[in-house]
Amino acid sequence: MKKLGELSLGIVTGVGGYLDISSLVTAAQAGATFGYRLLWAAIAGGICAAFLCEQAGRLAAVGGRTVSDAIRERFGSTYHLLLFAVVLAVSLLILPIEIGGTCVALQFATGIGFQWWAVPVAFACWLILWRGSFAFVEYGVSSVSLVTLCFVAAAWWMHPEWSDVLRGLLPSRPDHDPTRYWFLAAIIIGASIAPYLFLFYSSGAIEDRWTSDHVGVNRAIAAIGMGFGALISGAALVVAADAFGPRGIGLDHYTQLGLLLLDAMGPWGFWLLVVSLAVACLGTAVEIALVAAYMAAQGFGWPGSQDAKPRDQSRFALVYTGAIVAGTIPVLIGWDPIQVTTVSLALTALTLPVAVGPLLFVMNDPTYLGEHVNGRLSNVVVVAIIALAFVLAVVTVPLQIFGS
Amino acid sequence: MLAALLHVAAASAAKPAPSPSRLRRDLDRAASWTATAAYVARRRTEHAVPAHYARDALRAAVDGLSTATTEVARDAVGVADGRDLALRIDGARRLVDALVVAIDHDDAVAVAASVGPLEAAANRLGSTP
Repeated sequence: MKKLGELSLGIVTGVGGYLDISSLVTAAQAGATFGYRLLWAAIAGGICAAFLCEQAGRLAAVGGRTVSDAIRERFGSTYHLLLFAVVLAVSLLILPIEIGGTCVALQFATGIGFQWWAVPVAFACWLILWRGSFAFVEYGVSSVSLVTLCFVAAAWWMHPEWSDVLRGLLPSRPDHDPTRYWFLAAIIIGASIAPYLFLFYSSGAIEDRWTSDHVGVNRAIAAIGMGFGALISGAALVVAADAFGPRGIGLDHYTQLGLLLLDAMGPWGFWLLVVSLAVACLGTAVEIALVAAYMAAQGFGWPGSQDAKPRDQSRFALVYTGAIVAGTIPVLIGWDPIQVTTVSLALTALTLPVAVGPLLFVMNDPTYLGEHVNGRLSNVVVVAIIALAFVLAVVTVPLQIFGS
Repeated sequence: MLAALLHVAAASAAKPAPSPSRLRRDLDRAASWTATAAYVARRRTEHAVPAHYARDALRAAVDGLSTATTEVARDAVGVADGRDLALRIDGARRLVDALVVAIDHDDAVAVAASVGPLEAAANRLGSTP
């Protein structure tokens, strides 16, 4: 029964971790511009994320280490420092977007400019980490994130052409604007396999004290959790395709997000979008700040558990506090979250080889995993993800330049 | 209108070669902003969105259309009817500007009356070859 509870926990973690403002914006841009044609990218990203999280969880359950710990042990402190620097740099780019996303939701609700919300939202984010246990972060934030399932309901109520939706699940060539099409495909997949997601997952498994008994449950948690995330991201794409596409509405500014669910749900759609955006972005901001702190603690050998009191692990608390402060400044000076999203996702794709590459070696090392080392299928998929990560790293920045 | 004409004149002097793909993108963006404004107005008449949100979204549309006017004026140099395109977008911007005032004054009749012309303007811009 307890493991069944962890299964549902995996579902809500997947929903909370997957549907942030970056995923929402890219899915909506893809749907508005190319209809259902980029659904395959959301699904491919979900499959990649499920495989990576399953491996990160298996490493934690069997080896008793996070991905970050194992990479430091296997590749040395210098490589870990590089990984930490890269993840921290990307986190500091994405964190303002997520804090900004929560602020934008509050602007939609109140009419008060989003910059004014930056400090209260950052304080709320910090307070959750300062006062809350890991279970509170995991269950509390992620359970509320279930409201994002409204996108699935909205996609259903829009009565899309299901044969076209199914066709969108298979990769196809665009009939216009190919550079933008491939750029959006790259960043949808890149956003799904952002390193912070599986780094958070493995740290969470350690916090939850998983053992080798969790290997089977972990597989289900990763598959169902990330599957749910991909479903919601795909649903957002379908809704945007039906609501924005026929009207010729693109997504150039954050204010246009507020219109996304109106066709399907009327006035309720506006308020559900506000709540979904606020909750999902706040949850992701908390996750990202926590990942920065976990990586610093794991890299430098500091005590680092969300369940311990901040006074007993001041450096851990200092890192997430510093990350939140640094992430708040761009929002205060008025960064438009949507304008920064595509750039930050392109840079996230650049960092993927550094984070995903070493995982293959760790997951084949019996010292960590004993009999639970990767099988052939897992290795083939990780090699494919690494190849994809290299391709994304090479193509996203040129596509960003030529496609925007 | 004067601003748009000045943009056209300045851009004509500065840029010799037109870029059809860039112009297409400018027009699509202008059509998108006009369609956004029409949709916001329609939803506001149904009270599906709050007035403060409608105002914010329409102000963003005004900014977007101003930028589009400048860009079309710049990129349509050497294109037949280039000046008319810029003026048409500027016309849409003025319609949206008036809509913001109508929402500020809670003038439901003016808001409802603006939906049709904005939808027509968005269709015209979107279907411009």
